[in-house]
Amino acid sequence: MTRTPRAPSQGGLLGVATLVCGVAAITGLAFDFSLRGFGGFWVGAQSGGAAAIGASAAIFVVLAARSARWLLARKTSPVVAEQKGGEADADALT
Amino acid sequence: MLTLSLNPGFVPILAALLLLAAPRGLRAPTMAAAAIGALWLLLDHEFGAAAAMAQMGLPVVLLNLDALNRIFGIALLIALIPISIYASARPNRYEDSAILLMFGGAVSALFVGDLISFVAAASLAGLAASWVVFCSPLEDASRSGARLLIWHGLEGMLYLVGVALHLSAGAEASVFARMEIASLGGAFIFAALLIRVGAPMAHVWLKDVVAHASPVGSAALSATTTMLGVYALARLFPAEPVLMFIGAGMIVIGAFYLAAEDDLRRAGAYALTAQTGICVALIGYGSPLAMAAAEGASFAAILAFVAYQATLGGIVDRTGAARISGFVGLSRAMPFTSFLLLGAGLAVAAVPGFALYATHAVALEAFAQWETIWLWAMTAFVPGVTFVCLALRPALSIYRPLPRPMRMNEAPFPMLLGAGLATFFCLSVGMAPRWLYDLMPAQLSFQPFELDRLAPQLQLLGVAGLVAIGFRVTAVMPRDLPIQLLDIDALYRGPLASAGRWAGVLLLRVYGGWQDLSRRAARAAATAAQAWISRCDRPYAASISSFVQLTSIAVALAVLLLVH
Repeated sequence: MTRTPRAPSQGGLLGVATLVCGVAAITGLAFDFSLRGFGGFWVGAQSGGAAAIGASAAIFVVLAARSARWLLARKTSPVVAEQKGGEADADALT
Repeated sequence: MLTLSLNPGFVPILAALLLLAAPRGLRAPTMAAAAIGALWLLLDHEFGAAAAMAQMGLPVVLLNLDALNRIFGIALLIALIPISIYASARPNRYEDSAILLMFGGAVSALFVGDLISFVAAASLAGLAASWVVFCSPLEDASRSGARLLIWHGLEGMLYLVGVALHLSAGAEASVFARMEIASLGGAFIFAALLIRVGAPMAHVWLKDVVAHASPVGSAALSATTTMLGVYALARLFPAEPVLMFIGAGMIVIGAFYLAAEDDLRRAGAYALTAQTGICVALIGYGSPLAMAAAEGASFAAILAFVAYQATLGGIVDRTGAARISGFVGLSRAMPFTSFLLLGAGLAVAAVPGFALYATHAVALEAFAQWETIWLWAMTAFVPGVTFVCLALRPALSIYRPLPRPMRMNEAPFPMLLGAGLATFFCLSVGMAPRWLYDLMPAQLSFQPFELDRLAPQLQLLGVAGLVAIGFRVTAVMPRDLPIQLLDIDALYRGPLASAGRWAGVLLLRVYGGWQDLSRRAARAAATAAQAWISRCDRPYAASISSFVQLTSIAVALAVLLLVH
């Protein structure tokens, strides 16, 4: 009986990355709350504050990417964009 | 004193000339030997200034060694070693020579002790940087090099005006020391340095040249360009409050474009802008701890971004671009490069264990005051964005399998070795950062691996990664598409260039109209004068003009007689 080879996972590194990030987050939070207490010169530096900053960084990435693509993206293929950029460059130099 | 006056930066400059005639097999060893020789010269000497030479009444100090320039010099020369190995992957003697000249100019500028020598060395580094871009085989590289020349020309003009105004105070003013931004000369030099560090509105040149340079050129440019400006700001304008706002602007711009860019070389350049912004803000704050953090962060950023751009260079060498949208399935074809990209991504994201974390912790400590809460938050924010954009996103794309594997070779071995060595430097400094702290001018007793510093960084990066993965799985994160984003240079090269052209046409028309008008007026005046003179031949003609002529001649004679 032949066994059909298993298809490669389509997720790639997704599972490993989730695991690594999860372990880092849980370890950091656990040490933060157990050892540091609730001290900190402001709310961002208190225990768990870094997690909030990390989450806001990820949200910022999504918002920035979406808004930049909406406002600033050239809606052409890369090759055409390069050519157009070249023409603009030539204009700048003449 | 002769040995002391040999600036370490002169060694790469001399080696650059030798490279033009050296055979291919000797070029990489010559570059590495120049770096090691310059390092030896640097570490062999005690702190102090060499004897000054007088040129045109001004003192020229070719070597002034202290703790501030030593740390920058060591970083640049260490970075030159992996770049030398990396450069042996392709035969281009002109680019090798340009890279050495750029490093030589930058290192010379670090160690000179007078303003004029600094401007000369910094300009040499700028010209060599343009040469590096011109040597690139990529499309549009020559135009990018020309644009860099324009930026450096503007910077050089500001330097010259500033130095001339500054020296008008006297010869002793040429010493390369603290300046006042309120003085006119100081303001011009400050403006020139803002161009060099890539301050807001002048930040576009860095991503432009890094994206158009060759693989080795982009790594070399990441090391030498902006960090020379950071050094000069630390030397000339420490504790200048406006630098905090300029640095904050650089962080915002860098983080915004870093989040949106598809081209990872551009994204790396924007991340470098954000990291340089942190250094500039630290210099603006100016406390001893902040200055030490700025120097350490510059050191770590030089190594980390050389490693990142060098790793991307391997992909550019094989595929012609480093766009995340084209990364899917690349790990099968280029497994070592993919692994190195992950490592370099962690290095630029200040993950604990890498050099940038050791200095990032000092920067956070320096900003942990009530009046700089906003800078603390921005500084803490940057590694989260960098981790998601330069480590996580590329890793998730590059390790996604394709149904049909790509047919492509791994990057050349010297490229892998150079990029790996640069990443190793980041890791080794990050694991044992004590010697880096000992290099800093301030006496720093700092433990970056204490749990109250380590735990927040781990949770920040971990939570940022988890939230980003969640957004990716739920398709909230935008897909990786081959887009090109407009930046402020689109304004320079688009509407402003058009406005300049129209203004030129308008001024030419005004000038033509003025020329026409003056020509007509001159012709009318000449005709009138000719008629008036011709009437002098007929003084007895019965006309009012004859009377006027005779009267005017009589008045002229009377005046002459009276004066006589």
